[in-house]
Amino acid sequence: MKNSYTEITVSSLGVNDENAIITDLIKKDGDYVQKGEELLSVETTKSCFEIESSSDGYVFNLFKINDEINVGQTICLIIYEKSDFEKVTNEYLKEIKKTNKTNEFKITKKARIKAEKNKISLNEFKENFNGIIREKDIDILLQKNNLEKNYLSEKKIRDIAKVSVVKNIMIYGAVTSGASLVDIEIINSNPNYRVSCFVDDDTSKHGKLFGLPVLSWKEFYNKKNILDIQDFFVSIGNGVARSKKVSICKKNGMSPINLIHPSAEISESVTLGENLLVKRGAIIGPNSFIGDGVFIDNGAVVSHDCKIGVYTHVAPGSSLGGNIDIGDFSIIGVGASIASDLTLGNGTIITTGTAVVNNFEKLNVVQGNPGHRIGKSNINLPK
Amino acid sequence: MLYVESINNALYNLMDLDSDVVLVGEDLHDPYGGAFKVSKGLSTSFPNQVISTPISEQAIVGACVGMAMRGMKPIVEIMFGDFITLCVDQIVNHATKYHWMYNEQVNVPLVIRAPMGGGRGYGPTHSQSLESMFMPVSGLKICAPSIFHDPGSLLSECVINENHPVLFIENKLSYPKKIQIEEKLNGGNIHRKVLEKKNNSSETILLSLYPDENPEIVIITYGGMAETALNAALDLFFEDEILVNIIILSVIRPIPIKEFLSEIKRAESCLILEEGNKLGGWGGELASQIYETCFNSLVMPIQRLGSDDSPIPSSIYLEKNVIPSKEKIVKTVKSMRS
Amino acid sequence: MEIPYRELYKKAILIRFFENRLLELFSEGKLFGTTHTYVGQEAVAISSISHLKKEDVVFSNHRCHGHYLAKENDPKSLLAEIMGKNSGACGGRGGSQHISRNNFFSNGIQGGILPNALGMAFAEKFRRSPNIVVVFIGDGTLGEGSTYESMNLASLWKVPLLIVLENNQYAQTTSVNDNLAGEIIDRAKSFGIKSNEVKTNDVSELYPLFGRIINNMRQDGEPFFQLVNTYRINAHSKGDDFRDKKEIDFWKKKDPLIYFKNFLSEQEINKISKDVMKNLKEIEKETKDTQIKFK
Ligand SMILES: Cc1ncc(C[n+]2csc(CCOP(=O)(O)OP(=O)(O)O)c2C)c(N)n1
Repeated sequence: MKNSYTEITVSSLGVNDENAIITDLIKKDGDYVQKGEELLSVETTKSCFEIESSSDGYVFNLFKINDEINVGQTICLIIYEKSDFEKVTNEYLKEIKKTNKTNEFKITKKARIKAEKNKISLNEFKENFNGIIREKDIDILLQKNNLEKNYLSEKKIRDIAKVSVVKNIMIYGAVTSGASLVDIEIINSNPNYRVSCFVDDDTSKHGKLFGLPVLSWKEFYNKKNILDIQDFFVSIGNGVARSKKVSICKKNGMSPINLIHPSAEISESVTLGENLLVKRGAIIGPNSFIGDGVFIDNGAVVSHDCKIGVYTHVAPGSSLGGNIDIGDFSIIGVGASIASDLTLGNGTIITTGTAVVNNFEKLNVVQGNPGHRIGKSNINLPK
Repeated sequence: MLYVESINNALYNLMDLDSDVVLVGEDLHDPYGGAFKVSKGLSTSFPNQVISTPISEQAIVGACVGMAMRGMKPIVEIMFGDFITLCVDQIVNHATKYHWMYNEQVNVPLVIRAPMGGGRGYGPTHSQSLESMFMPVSGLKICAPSIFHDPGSLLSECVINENHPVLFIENKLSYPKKIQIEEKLNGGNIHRKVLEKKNNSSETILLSLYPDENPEIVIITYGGMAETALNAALDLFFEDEILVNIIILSVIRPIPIKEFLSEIKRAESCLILEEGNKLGGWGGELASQIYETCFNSLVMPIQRLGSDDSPIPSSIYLEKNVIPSKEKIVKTVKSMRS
Repeated sequence: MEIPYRELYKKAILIRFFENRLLELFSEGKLFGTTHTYVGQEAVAISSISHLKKEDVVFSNHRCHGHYLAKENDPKSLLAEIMGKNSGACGGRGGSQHISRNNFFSNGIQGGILPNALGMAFAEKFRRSPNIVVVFIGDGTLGEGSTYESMNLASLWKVPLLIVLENNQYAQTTSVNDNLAGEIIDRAKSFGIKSNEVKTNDVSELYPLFGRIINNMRQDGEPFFQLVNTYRINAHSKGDDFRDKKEIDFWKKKDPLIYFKNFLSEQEINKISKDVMKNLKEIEKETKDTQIKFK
């Protein structure tokens, strides 16, 4: 095919010009031209000139009058044989369409590699946000697909239901290590609770944990009545993710519980939220207010009159003076100390061992003694 | 519309609306229409208002100072920006002094247009970006639009509303390029936003791929480097998913830093890019102003890119090594992350 | 042409007293910066500028007090300016060599003012106004290239620019003979500019001469180059004088003020001088006492 026609292109135009406007089509489609004959006129900012044919044949124009063309672009075809005319033009146009289509959305290298690895077709991105596909977009798609894939047989679920005697608890987050590891001991120390199953969005965790089933949310949701589970605890370490899961569970009619180890000392005047985790040896002094979803870790001390914002994590051994106001979704690192009467904004991160003596606005990372700002925290505060 | 057309149209409209507007410079007349064709057609339409002069840069600028002091609206074209050196006395000791030293009794509404920049193989004396030489000149405004601005409307703004001298820097490589001033560019991927103005004739642009996300790095630049910066940002994103925003100034003196301070704070690290010599360049002043105003928002030292401390070679191959390129920008941004 | 000797003398003696008093104030430590006095050249300023209308423009140089006093006749604003007071012509920002008021301008950069004056003349012609622009330069300024760029353009554009070259024989400390090759007048001629040369300090010659030139320029609107060979009696600025004493004494005999004796009685001269002096003293006292305000 390639050798049955010639492409006419515009070569460099002049000092200032990289493009030109077609002012006249001297030859119409299908006209016969001889080498050297004028095909069309173009105008640049500087001058007007005619483009000549570089061979004999039949003309096929790719542009209309007033179209803009760039240097190096093919502007018309000269087809050597009349008999080839239709075939060549059809195929050429098809080819142009194809190249235009693949350009429709752009994909980053990382996303392309991940898509190929996971055998994802780019056609799955029907409505694409930005015309760009990046790794994040592939991840979201993968998660969606996985949720739908897993399924547990009904029989198996019934068996699990039989096991449960008292209040059956679902733990969201099949965490096997790290700060948010749910302490089965804590739960079992309360005779009214029994963990019945775990739910996790990560398919690789589906199966068993501590001898209990790990399900996807969809599976759990379908079987929740059969399993007779009305209560839950979300154990996900990331505060923002934790808050989302708590609200999903609550929307579906379930109630959150608090997990408080018997060795923790909590003053009677303390106001407690829900989905709280208070671990061994933690102390919470009078008149404090602990928001929903807060984790108070082993041996942490909250003196008195403190307010701890929702979904904040107070790590092991950290000490809070009196009358401190800690914002939502914050992290107080291991062994950090916070002086009395301070206010920390939402999404604050206090790194391990830091001594905080000043107020900080939201979303700061604070380090050192005395603690100073070292950057912006990556906590993605919900709107 | 092309960059050159935008300026040409603006000149046409300015002369059409106000017969006190004159364009003065070398070889402006048709059919030649100026070395870069910016004045094409104008001498035919406005024979009294287009004044082609001998090769006397100092006298041309000086005479236009005089015209401006008598209420005319002269626009000077310096054929190649490099020749601005011959006008320095007029700019420094006359044009920018009169208003102030005569205790504001006179105005000098003069616009000096000068094409700067390399990339065309014109060599050491015809490729420089000398605007940073004028940073310490009090009373001067420097406007240097990119292809992400409408240079014509910025020029009109300077001619109509400014009472004091303006150095209007045009980029040689930009002349034949299309101006890109839509809200979404590059097939919709790139968002172009005009940052909140603090001064009428300044128009600071923000280009971003994901406007709602904080970028890893923000590049601050102007003029011809804007396009190079964008190409680098696209490479960085599509190859490595490094998100880079670009701030493009139109007015580079005084620096309208308030217009883009929040964008620097959002990124927390920035790269300042200019085509002129890095040593003693514009970016040094900008960096200093950023440090003075928002040191605490930065998580790493400001980085700068500009031309090497060398004359610009004629050879187009050698020239590429001296002037900042897409590759150098990509490399610098990557080095800032590790 | 009738010559208003009384008026001219009044201006001449004002310039003389003013300039000499400045030097005294400097030596008393009451002034700062620099000054360039016009003593000895007064006839040129008064003979030319007295023919101008308010709308005509004068562009002067570092040695501008004489031109300013001749044009604006306002010693108060000038003294205040040199003393750095807010009430000065330019609020103290400009000082001795950077003065502006109405259509008077001066700048202390040699040669740079020529293109500016040229552009102003262009503007007058462009707007078909009958006004002319007069620019004063010294012999030393002929060393600057801008002078020739401007003369070329003035001739090409045919604009009403009168270039008055005051050849006072010296540029700072360098004699004209060491600075200039060829004839000064030829430089203007070679650009096709109408030109004329005189060597005199006598107002009875200079006043009618400038009258004719300026009248013609208002008719034809074309540039003119007038070379006046004269002499500066005082130092270039303050105490920087290395000239031959005999030469200075020779020129003192040709002091422009002496020529007035041919046309005014001694009585008249004394009366005018006394009035001017009295007025200047009052101005000085008033100006000294004004407080500086910061904006
Ligand atoms: C561009 C420039 N160079 C040097 C000087 C320093 N300077 C001030 S006055 C002067 C001499 C000027 O001589 P002339 O033009 O003959 O004027 P005159 O002082 O004799 O009136 C010089 C060199 C200056 N002001 N400007």
